[in-house]
Amino acid sequence: MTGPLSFGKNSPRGGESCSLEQPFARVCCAVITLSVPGALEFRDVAVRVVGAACKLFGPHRGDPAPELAASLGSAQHAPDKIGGELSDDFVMQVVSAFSEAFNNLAIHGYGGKASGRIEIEVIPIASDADDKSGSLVIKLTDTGAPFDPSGHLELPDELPERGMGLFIIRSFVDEVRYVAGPPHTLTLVKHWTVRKTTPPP
Amino acid sequence: MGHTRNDTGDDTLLKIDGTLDALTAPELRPTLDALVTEGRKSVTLDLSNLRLIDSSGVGALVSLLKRVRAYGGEVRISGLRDQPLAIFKLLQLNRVFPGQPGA
Repeated sequence: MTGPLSFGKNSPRGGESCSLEQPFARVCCAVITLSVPGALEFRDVAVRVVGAACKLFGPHRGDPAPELAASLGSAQHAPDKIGGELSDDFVMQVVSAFSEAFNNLAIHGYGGKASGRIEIEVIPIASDADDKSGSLVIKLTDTGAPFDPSGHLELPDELPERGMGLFIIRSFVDEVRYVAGPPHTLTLVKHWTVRKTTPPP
Repeated sequence: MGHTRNDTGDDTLLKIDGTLDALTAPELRPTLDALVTEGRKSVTLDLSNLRLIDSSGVGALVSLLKRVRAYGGEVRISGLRDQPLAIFKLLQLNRVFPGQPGA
């Protein structure tokens, strides 16, 4: 495989699409990197880091407290501060998708033997000048057996016992890209937008 | 992940707490297998304190449901919320397990 596979429930997204090829100036400097053994025992550590990154880099909570809503509408909202509280849905969806991705690499990629490592990068990208929208990019790199993430587009049947992981990933993030190596890189992209809230008079 | 089982007559209440995922689902398997072996016909899964579930955890519960239904029993779910509820809705399992919103 020479080029990346790229797909998602909303891709291609045209001008809205986040791309790693965007000018680096638009990428927040606070990229987080983590390296863990490719085994399920280390998934919780990685999930906690990704969850914390969601809180740092994701959207503000949709229904902020009045004082927070006021600050969002004022110049006090520093342009380099794309973090803040985020909706529960954002954390839930990113963490769920990431967990399934990690499972795939640990179970299928490394065969449950932790014979390699999983390198994780969490990259926040601001999409507009006001930092009211952006994307969270999560890259998982491994050297295990490659897999085909283009499968499992639909649920296998009414009562599935297997084959749900990729369906969950593709449902909860906006873009999924896979570049076979080794090393192989699975990239998850989740877009976010700060919901406009009018402070009370 | 923690779980507790209480039997009252023909009814079994299985409470599952914490995280049910690829790492912890195998710990629950013997308990689920025992329910089937004993032919328990009315099983309720209390998931009110389940924080996180992944596809492996869902697979374990679906497997239980299929096996119990095979001998005429039923598995109900109560207390599903937050991330586990979102996963069940996504996989349309809230329509399969009795007692769920949208069922």
